[in-house]
Amino acid sequence: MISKTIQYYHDLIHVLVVKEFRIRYKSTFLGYIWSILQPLAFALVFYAVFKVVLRIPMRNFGLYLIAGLFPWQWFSNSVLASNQFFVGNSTLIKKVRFPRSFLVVAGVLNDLIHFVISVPVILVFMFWHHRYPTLSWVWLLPLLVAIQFLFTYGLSLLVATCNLFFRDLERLMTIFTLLWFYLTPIFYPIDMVPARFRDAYLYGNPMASLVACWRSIFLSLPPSSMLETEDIKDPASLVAKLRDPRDPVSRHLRERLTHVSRGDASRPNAVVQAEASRLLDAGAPADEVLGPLIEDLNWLSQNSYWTIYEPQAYRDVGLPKRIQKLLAEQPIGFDLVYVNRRILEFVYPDEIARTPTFSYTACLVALGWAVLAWLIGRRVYKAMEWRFAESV
Amino acid sequence: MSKDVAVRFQNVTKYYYLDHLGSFGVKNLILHLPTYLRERRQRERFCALDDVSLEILKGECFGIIGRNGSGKSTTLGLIAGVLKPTSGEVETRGHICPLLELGAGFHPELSGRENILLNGVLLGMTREQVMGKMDDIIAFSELGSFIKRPIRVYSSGMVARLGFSVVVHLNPEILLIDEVLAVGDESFQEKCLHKMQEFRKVGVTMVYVSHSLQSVRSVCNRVALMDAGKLITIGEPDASIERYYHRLHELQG
Repeated sequence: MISKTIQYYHDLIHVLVVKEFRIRYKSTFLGYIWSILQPLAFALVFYAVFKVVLRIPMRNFGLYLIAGLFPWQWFSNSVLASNQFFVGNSTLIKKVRFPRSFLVVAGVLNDLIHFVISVPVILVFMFWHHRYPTLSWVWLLPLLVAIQFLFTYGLSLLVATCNLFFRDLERLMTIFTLLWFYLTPIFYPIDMVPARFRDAYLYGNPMASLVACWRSIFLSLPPSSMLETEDIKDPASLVAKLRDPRDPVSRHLRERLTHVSRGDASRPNAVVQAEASRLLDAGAPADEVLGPLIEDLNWLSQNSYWTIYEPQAYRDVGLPKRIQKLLAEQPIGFDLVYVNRRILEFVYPDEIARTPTFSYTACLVALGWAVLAWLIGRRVYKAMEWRFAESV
Repeated sequence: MSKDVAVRFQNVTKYYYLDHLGSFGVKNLILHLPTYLRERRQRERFCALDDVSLEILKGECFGIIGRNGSGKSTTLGLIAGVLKPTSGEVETRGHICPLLELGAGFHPELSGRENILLNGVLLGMTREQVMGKMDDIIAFSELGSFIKRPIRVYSSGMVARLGFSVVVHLNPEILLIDEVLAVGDESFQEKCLHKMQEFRKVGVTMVYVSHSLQSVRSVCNRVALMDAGKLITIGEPDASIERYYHRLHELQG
């Protein structure tokens, strides 16, 4: 009996998904090619605006963009379409008794299929930038798909239900989704967000967490490469090492820190003595130096056109291949922040924490949001379900 | 509920609320919010069914007739389980299968064949079952080569044929038919009525709502007459139809 019910639900989802899939591009000349063409066209527009016109400083901006944009489009297409999942099937809802939430499941699955179709495009971009899939994809990919599906489904169920009783929601969602898109770091790195908002920004928005996770899969990029106080494992030792006059790397770094230009308003264009370097020279205690040091190191990473690397200074260090490869790509802007962080982690392994590529925190936070969205969506749907036939 | 009863209504009343929060508009909502909240309970409502009690026996062909807005479709909606009574109780026994009206459950862009599959599964069959009956369904519909073309090129009569063909192959236990046969041509209508009589022989319960009194008379064994949400009478087809005519004349005169 139970297996028969499962079989029936499976078949119901199957026919509904096939229906949605067939009708999307019916009577269009390009047909299913649109599944790839549409997200690519979007990506192209953003690339033109942000890379060509606004010149966001990143070498692999194309890959960076689509790794966030394609998952986002799955989400936003579903949520926008969800307005019609119930309203658009009114004749059916009025006549037949079947689990109506399956209309939402089918709608979200349909957009998931289109996302899966677009993944090969991301792969092509990855190969272009010499990045290759890893073994962890085998379970990270399904995990992310599951979390994003749950979140999208929960929200779509809520929107589809509420739209039956409050049709203005459809217009509101269009505006709201656009706003949400700009608040999610898709065409800009989260490092651009001021440090004190960064955590709230990343964890307060489930899509920001998810996009960060997708990016770490497709680009092996951690959510953020900026240094934070928690990243310094041993401040005393770090400061001591930086003061060591015999260590060529530390000497080189001190030199760079001295030349940090803080854009003093009273002295425009002047190179001012940086706070961290002054404190280091004055022999201030480690905890006093730490704050300005992090600030200056981040500033240095973000605002200079050089890495903190210099062949002469690093002669005896022997940087590993992966960092040398990154340096060979001549990183700029936000790539630079990433490379600098990798170098710092390598040179001061006991003092600076290694950032894991995949942030399980972001993943867990997204899962939490997804469960919440699902619970709320389901609750509202259950409470309203019996009124559907009267309201469509 | 005794074993030979398929549908049972016990003092069923159904109100439709004619307005809800959304239909007020922002201006009225803001200006009249206190009034709205106070009068929430006595909102304008429409009584679609008023204290209706009836029993439909297994294997019966039960007709419902009445003027527009008398509560026929609401009754079907309550049997199908898509509506919930405001008060009273609706009990059913057996797999209920509504015969969808024109266009419902069909998608205009899908072909006849794809729509058969979609419709069959929505009405409770598994894909395998529908596929097994596909040829029979297509043959019954007499659509020929049209079956491969999208529904949007069909005439309304052809869509009705397709819908009826799917439903009669579902092995329904309770079949709900809401004024769908009117669009088919003479020969197909006859075929449908013939099929309904066949169903009666094998013991399928049917609830038939129609304005075509002739067809009601020919297939139903009991007919209910409704007016303004009230059940006027249940009885032999001839008696109920006679009473219906009488009421119509009364209103005109």
